[in-house]
Amino acid sequence: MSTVPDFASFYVAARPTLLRTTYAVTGDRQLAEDAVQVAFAKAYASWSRVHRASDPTAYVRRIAINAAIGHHRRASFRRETPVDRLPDRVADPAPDLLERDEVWRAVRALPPRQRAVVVLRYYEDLSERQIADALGCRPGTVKSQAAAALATLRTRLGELDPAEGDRA
Amino acid sequence: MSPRTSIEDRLRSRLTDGLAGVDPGPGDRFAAEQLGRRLRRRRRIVEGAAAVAVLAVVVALVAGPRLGDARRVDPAPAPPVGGSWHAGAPSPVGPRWAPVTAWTGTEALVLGGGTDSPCPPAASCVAADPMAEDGAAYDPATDTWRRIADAPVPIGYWFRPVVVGRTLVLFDGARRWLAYDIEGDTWSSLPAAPARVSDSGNLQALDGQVYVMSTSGRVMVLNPAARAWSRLPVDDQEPRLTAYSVLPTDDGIFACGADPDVAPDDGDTPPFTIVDRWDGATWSERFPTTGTIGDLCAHWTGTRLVALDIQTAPGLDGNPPMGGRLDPETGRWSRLPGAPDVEARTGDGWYPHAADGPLMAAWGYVYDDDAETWTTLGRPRSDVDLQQGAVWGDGRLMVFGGIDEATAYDDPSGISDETWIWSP
Repeated sequence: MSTVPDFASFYVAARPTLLRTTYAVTGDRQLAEDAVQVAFAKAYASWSRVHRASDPTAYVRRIAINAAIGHHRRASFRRETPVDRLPDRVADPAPDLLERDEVWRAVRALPPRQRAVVVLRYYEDLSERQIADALGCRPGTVKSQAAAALATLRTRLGELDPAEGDRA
Repeated sequence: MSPRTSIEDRLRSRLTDGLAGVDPGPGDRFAAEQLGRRLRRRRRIVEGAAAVAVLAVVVALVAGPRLGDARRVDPAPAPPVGGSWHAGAPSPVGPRWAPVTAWTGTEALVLGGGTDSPCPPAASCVAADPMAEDGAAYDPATDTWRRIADAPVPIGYWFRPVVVGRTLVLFDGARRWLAYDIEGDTWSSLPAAPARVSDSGNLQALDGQVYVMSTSGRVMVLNPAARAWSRLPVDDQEPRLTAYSVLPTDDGIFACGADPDVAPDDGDTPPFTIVDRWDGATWSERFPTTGTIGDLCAHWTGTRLVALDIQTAPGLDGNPPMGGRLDPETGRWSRLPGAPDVEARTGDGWYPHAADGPLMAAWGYVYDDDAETWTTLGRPRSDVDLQQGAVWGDGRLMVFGGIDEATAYDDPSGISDETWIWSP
């Protein structure tokens, strides 16, 4: 039994969205898993303080996103190493539907910080300031990164008639 | 004719629908708790100046097998805690988060900022955070404050300040330009730029003029005294850059951008920063393409252009750094020497953003570009966590206001009126 009762429910409730967000930012499932796990560990280490915040999710998100961005795609990061125990099951890779999606591919092609801004804005629906908090940058940087990202995406995707659908 | 779908709508729907199909699995809470306990134990051990160095090791330990491996391959020790904090007199205008700050040469101007509980992260707040119009000036030499005239509009964190002579120029990132006469304690409006400004997050000035980049890549120049705008000739270096920022220096006017044709749609090739120089008469020089995607026009140290960012760019070929510096005298770009690993941060320190000459505060560190040293700022004995305003003055870092993250989202009493000064 956990000595901090709230952490268990927080973990269960917050992890799915945080994992999806981090995955969307990195495009790397394993890296996202690791970054989110580390972020939760840090939250647990400071739980007596973190749980008093009105939204502990923001704390964990900030750690996870920055950890993931900082370590993305290092070969050593992916290397197999012994672990104390195996997870109950191996999570599925991203669904084919997602990988075939033109919008998803265009977002993944963005530079990392622009991609993070787009995901936090349009998936997590965070404000400019909240994104700045999460990424550890100024709101103005978020604004300029968002503008650059949207300009790139408009070029790549265009503004489609919904009847046209997206080219898969 | 059917309505067209905006890119924003498409992003919302496709990201939401697509990511809903990603099975997050159950995770391993027990492993997270186990790692957390190890971190907590180590935190209890470390105190004082050695804390950060020890915690760098702890982070590697708690990062689990994969993160731990990555860190062993590329170790980057956390710099030691340095300098000292001392409290200054509290602001006379009351608690604030994210006030706008500027250094006049003798005083720090602290303007506007949030006065009510900020919208919590991830919350859907209908109303915008209210911002204040009042402000005050702080003299660190005497540790005294004086109130200044209220601004004509609320001043929020999105305003960019720069001091030009005895005038503070403020830009709201869109269309509004304001001037504050420091001697006369009066506010006035300045004319809007002749074209849409590309908001780089900073405002830069030289010799009484403010320089901004238009969204079409043209450098625009504001003379606050004459209340007039002019433009530099089009940057005719080839190929034309997607320009995003400008940095005026006594070594020339630098435009930073990227070659839009360099990075194909594969998402792997870094759009490395390219810098052009205006020598006062022509766009005379293009420096060799750098190895960073950072905005090198963010800051001028007096000898170099610096992008202070300790992250690397995930997903791009070679995992390039997002920070770096360019020496225009030699034309050489380099990584930030001795930059600590982003993961070495403890998460407990303060992260004020401010730059003056070779001294830059960001990411929880102070980087001295002349000495090529990094110092961990740590934190003073304060409940404040973030959303402070910060500015350098006379070699000291002054930090104002902010919020206690644990309480401020629910209770405005968690907003601070504190003043803290960090000295190297």
